[in-house]
Amino acid sequence: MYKLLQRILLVVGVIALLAVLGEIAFSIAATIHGNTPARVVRVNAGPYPLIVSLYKDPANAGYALPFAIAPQQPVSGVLTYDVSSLPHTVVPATPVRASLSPDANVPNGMQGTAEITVQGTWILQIAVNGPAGPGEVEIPIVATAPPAIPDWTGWLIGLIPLYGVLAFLLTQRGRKEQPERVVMVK
Amino acid sequence: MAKAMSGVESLGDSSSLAPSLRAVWIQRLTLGFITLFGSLLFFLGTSWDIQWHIFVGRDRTLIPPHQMMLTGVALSGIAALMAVIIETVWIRRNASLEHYTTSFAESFYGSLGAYIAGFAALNAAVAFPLDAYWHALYGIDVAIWAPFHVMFVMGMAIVALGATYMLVSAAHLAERAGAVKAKRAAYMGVIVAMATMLSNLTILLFDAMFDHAINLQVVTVNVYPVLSGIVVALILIAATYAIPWRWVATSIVSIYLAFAGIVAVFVPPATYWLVALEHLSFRPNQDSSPGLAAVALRWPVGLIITAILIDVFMRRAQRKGWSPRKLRAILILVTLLGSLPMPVIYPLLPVLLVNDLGILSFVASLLVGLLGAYVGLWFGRNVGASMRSLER
Repeated sequence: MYKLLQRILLVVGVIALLAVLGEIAFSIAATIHGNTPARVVRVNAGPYPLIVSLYKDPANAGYALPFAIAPQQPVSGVLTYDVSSLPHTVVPATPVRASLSPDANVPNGMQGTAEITVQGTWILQIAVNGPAGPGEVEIPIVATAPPAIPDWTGWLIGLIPLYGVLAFLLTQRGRKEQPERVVMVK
Repeated sequence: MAKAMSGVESLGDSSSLAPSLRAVWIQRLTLGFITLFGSLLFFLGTSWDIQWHIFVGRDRTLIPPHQMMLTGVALSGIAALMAVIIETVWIRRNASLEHYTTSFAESFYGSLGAYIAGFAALNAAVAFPLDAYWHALYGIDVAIWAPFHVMFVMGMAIVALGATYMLVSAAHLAERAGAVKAKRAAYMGVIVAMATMLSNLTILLFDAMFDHAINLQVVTVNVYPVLSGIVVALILIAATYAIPWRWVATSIVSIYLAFAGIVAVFVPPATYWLVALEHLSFRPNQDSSPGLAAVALRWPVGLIITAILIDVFMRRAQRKGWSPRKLRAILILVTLLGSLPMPVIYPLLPVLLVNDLGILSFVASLLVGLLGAYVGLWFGRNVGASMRSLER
């Protein structure tokens, strides 16, 4: 019975470890830009007409949202960008600055990831600065999360370490000090 | 002669055994310290993260405080896994060492502590994405007492317990080999590990300090004394039984208070640095200043009194031959004293609680606290006694 329990624990442990590794892989994959954007938005950030490509629509709350920004027409001079994801007033979250890197294939283009931490309505705020001065545009985004589990289920899972440590502490109850053992070395 | 001596055993070829047993305690000492470092790193990361949540808000998933916490989880998990893999390989080569290990699922061998730390680190690793999911559902301002915060922090507190077991077994094996310095280092590690476990669990007590009373109509019970009583008695009593040194409880709480000092020195500058680096701003309308570490301000200082009294009374009980019942009663009362909420920011909070809850409810909270101290003492004595001769 005890050995069976150990085997079950081993299987559960391996599954949990694989789930963690899968989650890490999924989180990394979420930051990678796909080949085809899920949504393309044409906007004007002040004097700069831009094409903004979102690679996940709706966005996954709790994960990064990959995006790309490209000017609609060639611009003489350099454009600099500052992108943030801003939660709607009813969303309990704070603004997050996006990480950006130049798009090697598009002059004055950028690629980046915006973190959307909580489900609900967000805005992707893009501030541009260039030869024609500053410009800004806001793109609405919707973020969704997997269905909510009931509170009690959350607690049932969340208290697993407590069950584990309690079971362990109870097994220590019967353990008495072992008699002194002496190793005899020939 | 070997047969004539009770408990004496010959373990075969000493030339192969002696270095192997030495290798076992060196390995447990090394990986035990790495596991402990992981839990300590997690504690510092969590203290920083709490500051970040309060004053900036939970923004990106992989902000540096989270990275620090996850590094701690990964470090301790990998160390525990390595410990089991290494000992399993060794046992296959030298079966006589099996006596010093604990087998698992008929396939693995390792120290008991490595299994505990591995289980707990895996729990913490699973808790992190689940916590991100919980935040995605309910927002960034989830209380510390949220299911996956508890899973995360408690997991890493148990990692420190695993490190304690690894280091205790290393101390005993080193003692057997006559390695006095190694034994001393291992016991010091045990003290730091227990202080780390206490520190991680203290984070879970914050919510009970100012809130979370149970309303029973007639009386309202503040749950801080009962929870703190369990934790404090379990850790300090287990340590005094397990480590054959004087002032063990006092040493643990001194290190525990030193950790709060480290948090006070490290967290505010780290937060300012990160806010500037990421071009962020502090959230408006906060009651306190980001220049003060929120965790350090909430740190319970009354524990030092309890620790000193535990050491004094344990020694006195030994000298005077007190009955177990008398010692138990005194230890429970002493534990309760340190289990009153006395944070650095407001050490007289118990007085405020009397005013806030009323005398009857306060007394009820203390009585439930006594029960917690009793349970903690019971567990602590059993754990300490089992650790005293632990070699596996």
